[in-house]
Amino acid sequence: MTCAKKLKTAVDCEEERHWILPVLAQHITTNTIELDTVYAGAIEDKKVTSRLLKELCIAYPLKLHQHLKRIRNSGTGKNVRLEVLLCCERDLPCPEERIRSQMHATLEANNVSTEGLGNVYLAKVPRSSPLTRAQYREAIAYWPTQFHEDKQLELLLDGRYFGSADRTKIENHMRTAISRARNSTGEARVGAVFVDPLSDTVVCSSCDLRDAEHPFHHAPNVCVDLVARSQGGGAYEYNGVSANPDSSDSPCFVRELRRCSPEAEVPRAPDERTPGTRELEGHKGRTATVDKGLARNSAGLPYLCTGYDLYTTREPCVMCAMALLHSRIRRVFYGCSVPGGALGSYYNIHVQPELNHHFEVFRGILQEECKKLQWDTV
Amino acid sequence: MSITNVDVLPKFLPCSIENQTPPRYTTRYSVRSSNTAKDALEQGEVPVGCMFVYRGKVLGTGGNEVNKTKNATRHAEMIGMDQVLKWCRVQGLDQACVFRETVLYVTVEPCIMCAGALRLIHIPLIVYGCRNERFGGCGSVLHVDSDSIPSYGASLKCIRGLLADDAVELLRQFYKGQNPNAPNPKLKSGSQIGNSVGNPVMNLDED
Repeated sequence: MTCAKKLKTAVDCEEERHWILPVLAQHITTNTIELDTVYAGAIEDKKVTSRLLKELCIAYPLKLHQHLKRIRNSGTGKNVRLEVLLCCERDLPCPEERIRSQMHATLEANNVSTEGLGNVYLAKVPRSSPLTRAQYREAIAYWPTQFHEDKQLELLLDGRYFGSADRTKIENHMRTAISRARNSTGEARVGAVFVDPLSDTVVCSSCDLRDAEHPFHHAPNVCVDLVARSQGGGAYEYNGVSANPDSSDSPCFVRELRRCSPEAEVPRAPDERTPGTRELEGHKGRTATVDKGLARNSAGLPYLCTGYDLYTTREPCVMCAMALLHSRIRRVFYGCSVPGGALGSYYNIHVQPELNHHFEVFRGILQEECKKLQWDTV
Repeated sequence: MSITNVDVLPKFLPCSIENQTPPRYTTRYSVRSSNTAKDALEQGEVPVGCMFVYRGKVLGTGGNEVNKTKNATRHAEMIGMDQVLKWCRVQGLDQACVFRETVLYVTVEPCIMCAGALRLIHIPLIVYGCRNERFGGCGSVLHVDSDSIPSYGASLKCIRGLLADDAVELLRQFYKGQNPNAPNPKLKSGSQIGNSVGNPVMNLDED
């Protein structure tokens, strides 16, 4: 990430404290470009360029490399010369066609006149279209490439995605999670808070109960069940659920229990046949009405946890991460990473291509405070 | 009924498990899991059933309860594990010691979440029927069973393919009523929640 390369000043350090880092899929964050080999040739007579281009496009269309420009300028000043991408290695199935000295003959045989074409050589080109500006910079070092900048993605990568008002909100919710974490009685001191972003209110919160009650009652898992409870379901047995969000002595809180009347419309999943929302759709400037995934039934309740955000002090494990995915969570914000974590550290469950739901994940919120929770034991 | 992979049992198992898993037992337990799955189907849940067996004793059985509880994590394995935990509490036994000698029989490959949970409590062996192409955590989507995940304990072993056809047939029946392309779709309440397991053969619920 570009920020890491910056010289750190006092201001930067203050900024860094508030970084909210997106956890993105590896193919987005990587700056290593995959390359393919192509045949390229120097153009000795510029007048033939357009004819050559036309003939090459018919004989060897760039099927898998549509992002590449066919012509590039090389050299500087008076030594500028043009080079043309002739064809990909796999366009020439016979080994004898691949001999460079025979290339002119091969081209001629395919109705490409080689008049004005100079030396033919092998060149490396980027295999696919760059997704980020950083990848674009890498790619054009090999061959000119088209690039359509995704502004939201660049903001995410820069850490400028959330404005200061958003950041304050996010940090406040994380503070709630931290204070809930302090109620954990065992070694795992973790807190989790579900927030309904439509009203920016806490739906439920819990400390970690794995040592106190049940090996699977990790804080995020308990919250998933508390949401079910708030919708008239729920499966866990609880000792002391508070209806007061500020009560500091109870392990968990859930907003008033809303019992669905039998005739109330059953919450339904969003229609999965319509194309899904993009993995990284922007948050800024979206109104609630246009935001997909925030659909509610007549009782104002979502389907499972659809549309809710989770704030948790540390990265969820694989069980919790998948529980959140099954519950159709919208976004997850966590404080510190753990080596076995499933949202960025060991697995990337939120962007696993085979799975039927993807969600946004951000880390590093009040990281130091969250880390400290693990150290100060009761 | 197809029974595969059960003739040769892995040699890594603790003696107590090896003694209780000759083919006749595994088949018997799998048939009972299959019946639990049928019960789940009658309840309008995704038909997955499971059974936890400790030293030849069935400590927990479970079918999916996702629709009933409005909690998408209430998979058969989770229900069954809760029963085992309860039994341990009543008997005053250490749950870790019990789970280390417990075999899970389940009709469908556990999902990523359940595979994680099973590893957290150190289940050594899972015997399952069909694969779960959409959510499977024991090889289909991720290898939660065998990956060396930090602080997640030892890996667990799987025997797959026991009564797989029966498991697939149950899933087929479940998804038949909900196929969006069917001429007269029968809409059950909360039917969309039924996406908790995949169907390795047909994927009727897919887009």
